Amino acid sequence: MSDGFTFSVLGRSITLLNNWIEPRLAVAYFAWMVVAFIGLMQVAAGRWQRPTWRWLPERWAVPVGALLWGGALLAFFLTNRRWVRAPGPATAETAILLAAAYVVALVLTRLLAWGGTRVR
Amino acid sequence: MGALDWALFRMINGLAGQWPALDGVMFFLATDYMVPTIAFSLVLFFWLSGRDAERSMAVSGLVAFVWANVIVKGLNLLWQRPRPFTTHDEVTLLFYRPSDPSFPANSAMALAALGWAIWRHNRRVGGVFLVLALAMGVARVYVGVHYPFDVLGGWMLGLVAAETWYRYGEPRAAPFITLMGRFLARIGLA
Repeated sequence: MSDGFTFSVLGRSITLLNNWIEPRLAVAYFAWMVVAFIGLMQVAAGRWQRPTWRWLPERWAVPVGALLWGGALLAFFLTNRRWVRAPGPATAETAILLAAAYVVALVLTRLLAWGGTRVR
Repeated sequence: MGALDWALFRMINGLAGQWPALDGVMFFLATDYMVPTIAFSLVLFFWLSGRDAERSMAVSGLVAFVWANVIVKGLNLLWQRPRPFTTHDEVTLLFYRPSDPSFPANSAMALAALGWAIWRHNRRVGGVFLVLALAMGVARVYVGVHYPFDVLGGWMLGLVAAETWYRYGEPRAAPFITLMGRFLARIGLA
């Protein structure tokens, strides 16, 4: 993963997804973004009236989801104060981490919502 | 042109290191985590709306973002402008030393592309993205990693990338985007 993918265009080589630089930061960012997106999905479920995505009571979905999102972002910075000043993943690498975090958050949200329905 | 760029850089970067609170705010605006996370979260929020219009807006923004990144890669093959701190000693650097070329400012370009594509669908939401692009661009100059013209060029190229997508790509892709959104919603991914 750290070596990325190299290919040649017009005689010049281009390497993609090789710029993770500080892996600890990438892993921490991914983990906190999973939590943030789980919160965001509750905000979206509450705001857009999507009960199949909601695992929190209707009146709590937006405020608790927003708190979870903001709290996860804050926690990422607070727990990585030393590392955020070091080079982290570049734009494309960050996009990959965000997309992966979305997929994991989506699976967890659907499981929680499904579990909640079963319990009710 | 270079002299004007340098004079503007000195004006903005010259403020760095004088007020710790302002340095802190600018650092967080300039990081690769704060503004991109907010922007991606907003896109996700509209993607999860369950409505065709909002989903199309989110996809349009993401495609413009990817298209802008392709343009950056192409430009970097043609010209690699050194960073301000590699060519000048009088730079107050509040950030790590990025190793990729200075022009165009990737973050400014990507956020401007995302913002402009969304602004074409919803001016209020797009405006939020464009303000984020503006804030991050200014912050990147303030912390010493870009010249002002890198950011201006990034914004311009981002707008051009988004506009070309909106005018020529999106009308052709719109039916497919709508169908894809509905399909992903049906299988529980949107």
